[in-house]
Amino acid sequence: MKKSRFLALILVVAVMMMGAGYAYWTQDLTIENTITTGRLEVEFEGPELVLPNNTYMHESSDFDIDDDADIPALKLDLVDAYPGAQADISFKLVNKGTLAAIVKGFDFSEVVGEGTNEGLVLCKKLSVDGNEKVFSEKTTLKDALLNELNIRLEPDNDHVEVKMTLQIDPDAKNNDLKQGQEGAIEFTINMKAYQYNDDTI
Amino acid sequence: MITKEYLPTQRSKHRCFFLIGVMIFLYIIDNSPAKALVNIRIYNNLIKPLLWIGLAYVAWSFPVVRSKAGLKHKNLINLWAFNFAVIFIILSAMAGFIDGFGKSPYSQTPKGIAMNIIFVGSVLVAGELVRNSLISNLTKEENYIVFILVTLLMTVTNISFSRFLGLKEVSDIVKFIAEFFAPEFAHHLLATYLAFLGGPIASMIYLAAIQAFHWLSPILPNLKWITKALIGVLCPIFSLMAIQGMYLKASKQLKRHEKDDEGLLGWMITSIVSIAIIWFSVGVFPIYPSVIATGSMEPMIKAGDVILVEKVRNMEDIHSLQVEDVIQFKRDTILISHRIIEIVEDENQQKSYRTKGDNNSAIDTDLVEPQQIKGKIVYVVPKIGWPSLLMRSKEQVPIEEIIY
Repeated sequence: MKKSRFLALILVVAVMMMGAGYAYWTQDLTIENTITTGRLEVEFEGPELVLPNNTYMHESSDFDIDDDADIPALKLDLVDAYPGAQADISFKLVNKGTLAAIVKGFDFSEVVGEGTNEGLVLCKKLSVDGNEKVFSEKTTLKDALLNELNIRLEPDNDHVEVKMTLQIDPDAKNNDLKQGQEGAIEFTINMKAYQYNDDTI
Repeated sequence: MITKEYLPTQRSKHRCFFLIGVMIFLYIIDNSPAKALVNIRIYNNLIKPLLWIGLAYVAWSFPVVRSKAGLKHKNLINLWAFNFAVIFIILSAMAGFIDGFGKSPYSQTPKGIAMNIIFVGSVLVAGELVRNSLISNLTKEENYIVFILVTLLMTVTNISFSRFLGLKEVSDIVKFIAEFFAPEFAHHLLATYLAFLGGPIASMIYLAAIQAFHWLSPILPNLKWITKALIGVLCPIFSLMAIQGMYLKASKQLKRHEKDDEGLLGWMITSIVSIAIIWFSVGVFPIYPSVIATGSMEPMIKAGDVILVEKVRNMEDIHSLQVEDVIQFKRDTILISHRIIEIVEDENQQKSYRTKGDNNSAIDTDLVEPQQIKGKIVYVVPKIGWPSLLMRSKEQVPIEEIIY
């Protein structure tokens, strides 16, 4: 046989064998699983504000869901609050998403007052899902909420009730409170909610 | 008395070794960290072309040794060098209609094109002058050992060293050989033969035409590596056989009795059909054959029948499977062909399949997962699988795993 024919034969056989390799290495189906991304959706529900008798706070004080906020937020307006005034607030955390969530704590920010009122609103009692904590020392509401609460919520409407007893620092002076329009000191409360198994937090 | 100047040019092995040494040196420079000492753009656009132009000048300045074919056949060889390049480009483009096309990654601006022409052209011209010098100095007649050695030198120095370093597993090596090495080798083998017959111009025409398409076309065929192997190897090899025959015929060196042996067309057809049969058998194509060993799917499929299975290749193919389809799936090391009787979806909408052999009394115990499915049976060829079954290994698979 001519040498060129022999060379061609070798190369043809080599190509045949490459085909066997190709068939072997491409036989596995590439699975592209449809991953349904879960929805993380924890919301506030049922905020309530109860003013005990003789509370030194106007009845128009309000605690409600802030509809204008981009993220779930509660708005707390304490109107004509005097030092020592008390209010009981409560709200529910509801997990409406498909992922288990953990609420680490809350961000607490002041709408008016440039931070001066924050230190004057104290938290006397905090109850999360029936577990109550009484603060013996002066603890601001901000600090109480910023604590690592680690509230776990399962998906599909699992909920937890949070209750707090608030008090304006009895040692504060009237002039210490910076009031906004209509005599209200205003705060917003946002939650810090994460996917339960988020390792980055 | 004939003075030395008028004697035919003597072949010189020293010139060859010198040229080989310089080529290897330039290859090492191109693939060494030393390149990083200068600005990469200056290196690619200035230093590298200058080095190769220098080598081209040296090779060109060496005394010329005449190529095999006389002047009167040079036009034929040059013409066919161009034609072979065009045939290769057309076949690649046709394959692109099956495998797909992609946008060229190379610059299409006038400046970019000019730079690429300088960059690629300098290496190409120098390479062909060196090839021609090596071939004409090392052999007078067809010497395939010399041809192969020169081809290997040109092939290796045209493949970046980092490609060799990246080879880790057997599959990487085979893919590398199929996609890069073998086609490059085949092209260079043809170029070497063209240089042997017709000098550097012939090989330059062939390679330059292919490179021009590769670097200048705005779209390029995006071929699977096995397709690149098929076209990249067979096209140059058949072209080599064709030019060999054409030259021998044109130069009347072909003896009368040899003409009956030529049959290049017959060779091509035999090669392509043989490759097609082997590839079909091993499962390269979307439909592959499989021999059935048991009667679990009687009466539709009997033992000894060959089924044609249409591969399931992606999730779309998986989702198109329906109840009553007969599928082939792999359980451990066994291939089983049974009918889907139910499609089960879990809470994440992932499908799995409940199957049963038509002739089995019980449903298959385990559900079939998508990754186990090989394909869907589209045709049954009766009885032709018996020879294959009889030749099977004596190692028995427990029959209980298949029939119940």
